Amino acid sequence: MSHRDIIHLNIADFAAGIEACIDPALRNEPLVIAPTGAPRAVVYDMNEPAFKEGIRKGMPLSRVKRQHRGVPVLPPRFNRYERAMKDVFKQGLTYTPAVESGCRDGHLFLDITGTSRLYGPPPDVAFRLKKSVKKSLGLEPIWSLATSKLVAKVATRMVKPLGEYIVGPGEEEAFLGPLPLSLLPGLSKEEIRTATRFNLVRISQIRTLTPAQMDIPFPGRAAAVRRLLKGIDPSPVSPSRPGRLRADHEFADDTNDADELTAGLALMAAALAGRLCSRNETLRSLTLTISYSDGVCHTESAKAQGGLESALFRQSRSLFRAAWKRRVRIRHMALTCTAGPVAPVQADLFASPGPDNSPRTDRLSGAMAEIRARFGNAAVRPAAALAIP
Amino acid sequence: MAALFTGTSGYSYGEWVDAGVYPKGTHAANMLTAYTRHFNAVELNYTWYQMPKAPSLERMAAQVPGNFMFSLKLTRTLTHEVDKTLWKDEAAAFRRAVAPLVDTQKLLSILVQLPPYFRRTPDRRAYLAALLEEFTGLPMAVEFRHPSWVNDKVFYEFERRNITLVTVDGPPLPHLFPRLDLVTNPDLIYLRLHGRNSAGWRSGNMQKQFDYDYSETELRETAALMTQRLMPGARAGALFFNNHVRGQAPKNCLRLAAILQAH
Repeated sequence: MSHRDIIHLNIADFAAGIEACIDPALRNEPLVIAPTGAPRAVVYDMNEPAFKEGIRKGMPLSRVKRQHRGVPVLPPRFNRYERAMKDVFKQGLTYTPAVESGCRDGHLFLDITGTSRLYGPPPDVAFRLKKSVKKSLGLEPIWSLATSKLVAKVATRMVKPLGEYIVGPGEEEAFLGPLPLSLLPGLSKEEIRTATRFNLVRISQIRTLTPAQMDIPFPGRAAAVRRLLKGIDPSPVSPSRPGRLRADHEFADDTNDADELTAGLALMAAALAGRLCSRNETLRSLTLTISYSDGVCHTESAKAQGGLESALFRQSRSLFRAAWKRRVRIRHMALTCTAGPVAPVQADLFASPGPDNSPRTDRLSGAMAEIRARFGNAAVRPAAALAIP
Repeated sequence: MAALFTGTSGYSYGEWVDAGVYPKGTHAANMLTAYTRHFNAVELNYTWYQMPKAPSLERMAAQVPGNFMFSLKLTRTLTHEVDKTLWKDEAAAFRRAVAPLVDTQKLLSILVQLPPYFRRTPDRRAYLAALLEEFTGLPMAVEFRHPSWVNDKVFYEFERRNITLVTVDGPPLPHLFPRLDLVTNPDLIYLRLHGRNSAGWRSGNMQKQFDYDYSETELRETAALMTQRLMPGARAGALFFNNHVRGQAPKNCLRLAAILQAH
């Protein structure tokens, strides 16, 4: 099998970096991103000076405030991070259509296999991409180049918070060998803990085990783990599919008020339905992502059950019920759908001509879309959205 | 007769398989081995993008025949993106990284390619002198890209320190460092052939900049330059083609080597 050229861009401390770009005074001092009004809030992100002071993601904010008095704390602004992520994504698209981005986390994978005739040697593409991201966002990403996503990801972890790493084809095993197990993606915390109990802390140590021995710390997963240890990862860089629409809502204050959350869902459903209508497309699948105030995200997906606003709203509510698993307040929700052309429907041979026979809900949705197209989204809104002023 | 090391700038190009340089189906991991069947030296470009690692160079050295040599481009943090507070650490790290090649006598040279905006100013003269000082004892070759460095004092100082001034073959454009047939270090002369693509030189796209196929006449002129001007009196010579697009570099290099052999 011919090798692949995978670039991994990792903008360390993405959220804190974006905030520091907006206010450069925050750049060289410790900065923490965490919900300020939420009880039991935890750190969502922090910059390098804060990291050096011992502040970590997921740390309770109350503890940070107690131990590091005077450290500025900013609430997370997911919309900003998302816009910045989109910008980086677009820059990646200039080199390859195979770009995969994380969820507002500053991570981007690009598969640039076979593009060297157009854009030059892969290290040069990675280097130019880094420079263009730095120029447009003011943030310097770490970059790595390897033959798989797994190895590329480990490579950027090696040089955090700044730098680059090229792992040449055929060097994967030698590169991974001396590294601690904790750097390898794809292993659960429990698996790492078990291996450590057996005094197996380096990747090269585990490679020496027989399959039967491997089955003890990694029951049922020995073969999969062995592949990981060798740096074998055939998973493709999954580009975001065309025809994907997205609406999101960020709450002014973190909330777990059911009415407010329902209102947010209604607004997103209305926005998506309007866009589907204007593109004359129908819904294929629906995904809801909710982001808690501590930065934890939950996602639920389902196949579409109808593209009208009312159906979209109903379905997003059921997705929400499945995704809402914690008592922590919610800061942000995003509704993403895949869409496609409306399937041609054969007209009823004996349908009576005359007034529109479509159901009332269809006609209502159509009318609302028309009003919104003419007077703006705020001109008409579902009653369920009234909880949000 | 002086030893002559010929090769290309970089060896890992996927398009060279399509160009017939490497056999069909050659995996990137096996390209260095395939490369050594044609050439006895290579210039490593990737070391400009990232600090080389000693284990990696050690593995490369183990893959090549005994007489094969490596030339390494100095990392960009020492030539293009110099941090005044960190560069000495970077230089020390580079020295440590190349140690396996030094130990196995496979280090042909460290190539210091300076950026086009690197003019001759008192500050930069001082920096370059200090940088070369950090690599004392190692074979160094300097490629200038700004014409302000055409100065006898520079060449005299290179002679005094046994530093090789790289002879550059490029397009005949103004404001480029000219091709000088000067030998400042008889231990090693160093010729880099970038191609003469005037139209693509400043395109910002490497695929256009280095897209050039040297003609037979140009290669014969280059052979004459080597045999008549550069090589007499030199103990070793290095010759690298950088016009890598569509496999032109290896093709031109093999042809030039054949012409030189016939001389």
